[in-house]
Amino acid sequence: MDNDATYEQIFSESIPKSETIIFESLLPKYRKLKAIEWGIFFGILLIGAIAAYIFIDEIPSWIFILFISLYVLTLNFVYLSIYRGFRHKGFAIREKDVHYKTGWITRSITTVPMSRIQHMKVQQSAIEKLMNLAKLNIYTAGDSSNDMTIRGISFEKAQQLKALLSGKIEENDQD
Amino acid sequence: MTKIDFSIPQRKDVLGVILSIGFFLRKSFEAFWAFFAYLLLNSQLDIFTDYKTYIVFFIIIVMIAIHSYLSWRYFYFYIKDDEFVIEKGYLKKSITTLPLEKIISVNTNQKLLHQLLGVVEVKVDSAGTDNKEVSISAVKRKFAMALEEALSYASKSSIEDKEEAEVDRNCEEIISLSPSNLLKIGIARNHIYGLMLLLVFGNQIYYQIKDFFDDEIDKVLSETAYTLEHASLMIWVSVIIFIVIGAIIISFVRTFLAYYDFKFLKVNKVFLLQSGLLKRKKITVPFSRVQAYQQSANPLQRLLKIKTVRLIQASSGNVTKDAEKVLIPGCENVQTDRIKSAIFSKKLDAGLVIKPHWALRNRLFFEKCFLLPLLVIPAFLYPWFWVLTFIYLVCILLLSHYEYKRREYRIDNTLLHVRSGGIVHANSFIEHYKVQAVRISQSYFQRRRNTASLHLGLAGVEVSLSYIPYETAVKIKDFLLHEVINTKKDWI
Repeated sequence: MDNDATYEQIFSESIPKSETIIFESLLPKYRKLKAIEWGIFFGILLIGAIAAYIFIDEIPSWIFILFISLYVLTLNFVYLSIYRGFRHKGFAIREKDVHYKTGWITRSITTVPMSRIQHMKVQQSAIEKLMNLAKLNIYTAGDSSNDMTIRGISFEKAQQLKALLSGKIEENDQD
Repeated sequence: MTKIDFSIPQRKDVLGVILSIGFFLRKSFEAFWAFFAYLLLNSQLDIFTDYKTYIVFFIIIVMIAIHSYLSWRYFYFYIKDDEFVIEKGYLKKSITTLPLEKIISVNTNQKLLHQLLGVVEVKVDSAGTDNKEVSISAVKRKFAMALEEALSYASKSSIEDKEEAEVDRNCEEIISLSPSNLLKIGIARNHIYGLMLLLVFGNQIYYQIKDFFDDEIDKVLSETAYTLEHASLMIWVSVIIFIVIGAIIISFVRTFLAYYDFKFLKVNKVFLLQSGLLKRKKITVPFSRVQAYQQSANPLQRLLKIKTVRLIQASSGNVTKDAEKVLIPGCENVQTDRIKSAIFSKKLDAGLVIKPHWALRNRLFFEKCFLLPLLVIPAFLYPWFWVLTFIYLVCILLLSHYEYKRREYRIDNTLLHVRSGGIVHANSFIEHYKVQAVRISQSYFQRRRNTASLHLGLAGVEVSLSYIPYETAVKIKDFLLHEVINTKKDWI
């Protein structure tokens, strides 16, 4: 590259490297939570489809068979992504920023500097409550695509993270 | 300037009552005009000679008036404990509070009815995902200015601006549009949009009329269809020319309505935008509130050497309404340079130029294939559609190649520039410290080629550096995070 000099100048060595971040993985029962949530969805879908096939005479068998094969395919895909994708999920908190990685086929890592956090929320659905899981929503200014949700952590951990991060926000403000 | 104490609850102007009655009447007319036309034209129903009709109308008007009066009476706003509070509602009370430090903009707006009554509408927008925006529909202009001052005085960043404002009150005009400028902008507008508007509008009118004048419409339509079926090429050509001229006229009218007497000024550290004929809008944009600078030019605009500049402001939710966008049409290079130099502390250096991976071209090509089924499916019935398919494929192939060639990312110590677009050339500039969140994403194909896409989330816009080498993406990400964390400047 011709502009190697500027390249070095812009990306100096003293900048902390994000490649060295060690991500903390989510609780293994997060897989179970997802499996249950999707199980409910697929269960209702299947019951609905069978009921429709039995009670509505106009539906030809080939449509039903087509539906069932698509159903099996997506079901497989969803469960594969829950279990295979799990090891690509995780979060990390450095001194001044929060990271969350996710995805199986398309993987992504989102980073929010603590000084840019607007507010946070700990949320729990009914199933999550039963399993003692929670999620922490971290909001930044502007679009919702900038927001981060750390899933698959215990309720205590979520509270703890929230306290930790909000403490750091105040620290930043005092500077 | 008149001093108004905003710590005691204030009401809107009394004229607000008339205003809301007026708006209600206008809305109901828009919704039911075809119904009224039907009543008027249908001679069998002589409801206009019946006194009961007038009584019904009178009762409706009185009820609206009472509603408007009560709404006005119970609408208060005041500043208390560094919060701007709005109380409203007589049946269901609601109280909205906006912390003063989170208020990002105070804009005034004037629709035709406002202009007639000599009042303005004040819109207050605050940051954050809470999506809070309040509007005070009718106050006198002087009152609005005092309110604007009271609100911005309290917020931290504006105090500095104010102090400097005392020192020198220099006001510099960046651009003002004369009718000949407007003509130029009108010519270079996207006429396809005008065409769509024509179709949508025509369709709406058609359905409204159809509900009441079914028989007449059917007769006219079948006659038209008959003429068109037996028409010569001449008639077809003239119909098309007629539609095209209609679209162009719509473009001109829209331009004149939106940008009549357009002024974009620089007053100390604030931009001031004023424009509009029937609906006059006025937006103040402190330099520090600008999150991103975008400029675009379609082929016609490039021919006339003009560009449209858009300044992205931090806002709650997505700004979709034209009225709230900071759009500066018809800028020439001199003016774009002046706007840029006002917002950014320095010019973009040579910096590091990053070209995307060629896989981006394939991606752009596949994105454009979505229209393909519309051509391929009829092709099994009408073979000449295969020719169209072929032409379409060649066109989008060339276009994606051109788009890929144009795509370029440039970064230096303070600024990032993204050059993109095919038919419409687009350029975005952002300052590093305005970034809110950074996301690196890699699809399966990107991992195989060791490329990645870097998405930078800003308040109000997302800027993406697609298909750049993975290592570069990580380096830029680390660098940007470092800049954001260590900056002394406020992003807002």
